[in-house]
Amino acid sequence: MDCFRLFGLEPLYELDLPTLETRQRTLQKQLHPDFFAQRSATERRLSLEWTTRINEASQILTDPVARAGYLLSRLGWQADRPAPDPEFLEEVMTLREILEEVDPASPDALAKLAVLKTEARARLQADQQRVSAGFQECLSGAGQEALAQTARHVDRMRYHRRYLEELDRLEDRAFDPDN
Amino acid sequence: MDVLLEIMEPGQSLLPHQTGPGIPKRVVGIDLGTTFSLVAAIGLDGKPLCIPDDDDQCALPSVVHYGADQSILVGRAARELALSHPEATIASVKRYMGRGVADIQAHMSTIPHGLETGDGGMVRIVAGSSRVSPVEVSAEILKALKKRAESALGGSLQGAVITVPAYFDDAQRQATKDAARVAGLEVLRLLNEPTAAALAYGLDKGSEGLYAIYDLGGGTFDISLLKLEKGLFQVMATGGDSALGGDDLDQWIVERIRTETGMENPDPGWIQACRKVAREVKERLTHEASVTFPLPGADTTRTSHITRTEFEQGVRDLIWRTIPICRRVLKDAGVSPDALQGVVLVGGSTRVPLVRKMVADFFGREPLVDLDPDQVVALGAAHQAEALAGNAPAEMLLLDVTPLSLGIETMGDLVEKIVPRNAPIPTARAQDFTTFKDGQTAMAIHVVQGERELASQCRSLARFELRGIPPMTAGAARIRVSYQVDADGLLTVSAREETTGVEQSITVKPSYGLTDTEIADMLQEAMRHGETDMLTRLFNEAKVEADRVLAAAGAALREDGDLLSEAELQRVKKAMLAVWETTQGSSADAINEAVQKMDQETRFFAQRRMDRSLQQAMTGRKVDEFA
Repeated sequence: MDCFRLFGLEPLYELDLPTLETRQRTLQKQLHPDFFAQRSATERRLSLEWTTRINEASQILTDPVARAGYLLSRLGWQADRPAPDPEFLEEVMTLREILEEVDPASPDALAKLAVLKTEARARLQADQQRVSAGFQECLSGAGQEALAQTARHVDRMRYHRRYLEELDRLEDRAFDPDN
Repeated sequence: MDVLLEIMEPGQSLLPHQTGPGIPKRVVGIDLGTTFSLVAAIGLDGKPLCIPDDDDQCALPSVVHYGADQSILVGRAARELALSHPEATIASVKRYMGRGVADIQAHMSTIPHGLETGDGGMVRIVAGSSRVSPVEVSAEILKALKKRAESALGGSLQGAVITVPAYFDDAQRQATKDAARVAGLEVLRLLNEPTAAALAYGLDKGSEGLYAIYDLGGGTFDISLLKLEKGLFQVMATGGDSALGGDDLDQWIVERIRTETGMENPDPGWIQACRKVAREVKERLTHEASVTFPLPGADTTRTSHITRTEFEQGVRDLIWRTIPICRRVLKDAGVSPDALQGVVLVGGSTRVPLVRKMVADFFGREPLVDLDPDQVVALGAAHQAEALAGNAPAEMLLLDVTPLSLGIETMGDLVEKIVPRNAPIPTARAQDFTTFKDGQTAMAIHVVQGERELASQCRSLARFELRGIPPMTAGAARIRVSYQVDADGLLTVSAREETTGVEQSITVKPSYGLTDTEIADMLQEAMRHGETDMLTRLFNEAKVEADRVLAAAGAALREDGDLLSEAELQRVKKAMLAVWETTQGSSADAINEAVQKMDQETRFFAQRRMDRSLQQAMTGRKVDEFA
């Protein structure tokens, strides 16, 4: 099943999210298991399968990182991981050190974490823009090198996303020490 | 033969005795609560109503008494016996559902019953001379509500929506469904309690926008964030604690009395008496600044005194535990408190003034309390039951999410998350795993639920042994483990070796469930107390399903009969007739077989109808474009 075709959308990185939401709703209102409770076993099963597909596809398309990964594989990108980029590895080391210095028990932890989160979001945003531009090139016929370059930026997005999740966990701990 | 086929012409009701689409089905919504349970149905005016008992009481105390003479009492009568027969009377059984002995002992300090481990891992409660599973105890509560509803609605029930805390894990949900089965109730859906409350609240008030439902009941806490729109209620995020509620506030008072009276090893009678006092004290402190109360024990003249301030200091930490959960749910949904239209309070424990104050402080607004917090969940469930039964035009769509991440244990006690929390359901996710030894033909799979990073800290749901993997070099096999979560929030796991395409045989061992034998025994036991025998009940269940299938097929022919050629129409009708004929006999197996055969025979029709539905949703777009 093609996620874009399911919602009648062009396979592009920049998506019209409101249209996606509207189309998802229309499909749900036609196919959700709640409307099939009194139907035959086969129809109930089909309804469950279709609704599952709709949910899955919309999760992939609405998440900028998952959508990028999906488009990469759709464009034939095979490798799970692009070759690491030495510059980025250095950045990762620095970011890791910053993270290790945060003490969730300290009184200014929440304020510090808020700043770190803003910075991490900005980095994610910047990479997302590079990914978006990269996909535009790839989709207009640029070669494997452009695809590899885009894949590297997607990988950075994944890293920044995980980094944000770790900041979130620290923030939870700063807010509630029992957590 | 011809005559019968004539009767089944599209547009006509199938058979005279049958519930056609025009006759509403008798369905109810049930709030199976920790301290109280309720049943509600849609009244003649289209509004949901709780069904009261003979004394005009809606709330049935969730208490079951097992008599020495094998008799079983439920509700107020049982609660009254809690003091004189503490060991034989079970209250708050919801806290035991889908749990093991160790879990319960970790969460509750004073338990008036002996606990044992059942064959399937779930706890067994020693109630007087009986050993009962929490599933059976819950089934007794459900049976009492079923009986009440059937006498009010004038006939046997054709289905029920049963609510569960949103934060219930898979084992707790499955246990609830098993209880309904033992009680002889067809579950139309397990509905999350805050979602049910939002449905009742939203429909009653015509509300739109973002709402938080803060639900603190007798034994469970849920917080759900919903987007209410016309025709659509969508859960954005949910969180909770399935072992935190009003019982814990009572427990604090019990402990205080225990310290005050120097009671070292309280006996079950003392515990039950003390709990009763604690509950009353807590309720009075809602309106009074201080309360003088009699101490439990032989000396009835001894009294004690407690102020609201002291109580609030004592339970502050307990109530505070809900706040970081609220915060995380807002964060998960990416919403700040000021983006909310309102915060709705649900559950009896939200009457405690400190709860209201802490919720108001956190959300920065006064919470909404204009619907009865005890009834709203049952009322919402009745709405949903009505829609699922097809009685009301299906205009409202409820979209819910998974409360907890579902994962798999990998090496070193680590958890690989497969389905994240707050994923819209139904959902399916898959993950590939490989062998780590040459020639490895089996693999152990441990399914866990929860947010912790270590498997041992998450809830264990089930263990699987995957066998028959073709021998290959280490790392060559590709085993795809798929998780499917249905609309009830229940999980099914399957596994497949992808390089050979062989579906693997799986033996499931739920960590805190019931074995098939245990369920069969419970059904037998339930029969022994009931008026019908096993065979009659199985036949009736099969017949209800057959009638439902025939009615559905009749409706399908009316709506989409044009999709069939004359020959195909005859094929469908023949299959329907075969089912109808078995319903005139006396064999449940014959009915089930015919229903299954009819489903196979009409599969092509189902597929075509589904394609038409898709096409309608996609107006102007071709089905093969996205199939």
